[in-house]
Amino acid sequence: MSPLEHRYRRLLRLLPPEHRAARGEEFLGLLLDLDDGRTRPSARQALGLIGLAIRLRLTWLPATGSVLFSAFLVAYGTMGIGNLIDDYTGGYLSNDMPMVRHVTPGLLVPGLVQLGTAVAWILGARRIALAVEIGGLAYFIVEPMAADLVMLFFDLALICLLGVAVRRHWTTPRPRSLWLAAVVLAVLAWKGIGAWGRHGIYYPVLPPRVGWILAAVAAAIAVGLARRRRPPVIVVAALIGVAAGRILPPVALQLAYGQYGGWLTTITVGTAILVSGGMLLTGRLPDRPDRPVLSGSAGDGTGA
Amino acid sequence: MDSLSEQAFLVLAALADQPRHGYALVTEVATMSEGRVHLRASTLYAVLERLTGRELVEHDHDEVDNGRLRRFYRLTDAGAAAIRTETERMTTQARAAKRRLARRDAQAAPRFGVAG
Repeated sequence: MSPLEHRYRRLLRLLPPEHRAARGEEFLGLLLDLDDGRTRPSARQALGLIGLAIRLRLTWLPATGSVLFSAFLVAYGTMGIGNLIDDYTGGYLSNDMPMVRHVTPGLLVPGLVQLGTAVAWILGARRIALAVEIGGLAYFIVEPMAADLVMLFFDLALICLLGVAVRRHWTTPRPRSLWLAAVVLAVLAWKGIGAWGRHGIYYPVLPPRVGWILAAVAAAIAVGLARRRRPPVIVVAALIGVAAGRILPPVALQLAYGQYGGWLTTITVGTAILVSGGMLLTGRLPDRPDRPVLSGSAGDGTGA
Repeated sequence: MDSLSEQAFLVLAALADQPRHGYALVTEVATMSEGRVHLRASTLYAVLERLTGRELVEHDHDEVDNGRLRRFYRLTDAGAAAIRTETERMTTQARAAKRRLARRDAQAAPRFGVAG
């Protein structure tokens, strides 16, 4: 086997197994013909192959995306109601209740709008979900008590996302009963988070020393992966490892508990895992498309 | 029928006279486009995937040459019809563009005997 063939065979492993089995040898023959006389794959062919592998491997995205999107809507849709229930069941002292009751309508309406959006989406009424969310945004604008600039932008972003989802015909994977059960659990989760927060348990913070240890571990892994490369490549891999090890864990913690979405991420991921597990147990996991999705112009073929 | 991309059209046209394998398609497309379009292997397979899916192209036979598998493709009747339709569309458009260019040239020509 020539060095070129050896290297192309290694690159072809990037393709999904079913595609490699069907077209791998044919593809290899063409690549060897096009790069005849070389010992290493040309950058042009190698990059094209990597791009194709990424496109083919992303065919699972629509199914996973719709699960994640629905899980996000469940998490977001139950936040308001969950928090409100928590307010009434321990968030405030009984002598604060008159004031809480006074502001309840201003909190209940957005909460119901969020919940309505999620439930409508789960039941397949996608346009109604979009309409409810737009109605909620209108309420935010006209009701000063509920007005919150961050929530306003958040809702606007969500409406755009819902618009895209409606246009692209995303649907909530069945069974719907799992999703409706997840709605109830998510409400309880929001209540539980409120109660947890009042009992002196604080959000985890990564100590700097742990951060540097993680950075060293990530750098060691990166160097190990690049050990057969040239020294400059190994140095770059080590730097990327340090950066990834130092930056990613704190960002992940912030995403889970902190400022970038807070618990919303945790409940979204939890819901997605729970429902996917339920679908797996009931044999209802969404299928991957039969054929690779390669539509649209393959725009890298023109010119140099 | 959906319109064809330039690459898909060139691949179909390259298969019009005889079945060809991947490498022959890449070189034929480069020749037909006078060196302007050089297909990558990945692009060619993306195009072939789409054309096979639309039943414009089908697998003809396989050959092994110098240890390399060469898969030949041939044009289907639907593929030949697609080339004809696309060619007529392009010819009509080119004719319309030429007419307008001729009109423009006529307007730009010096008009003798007209003052001011």
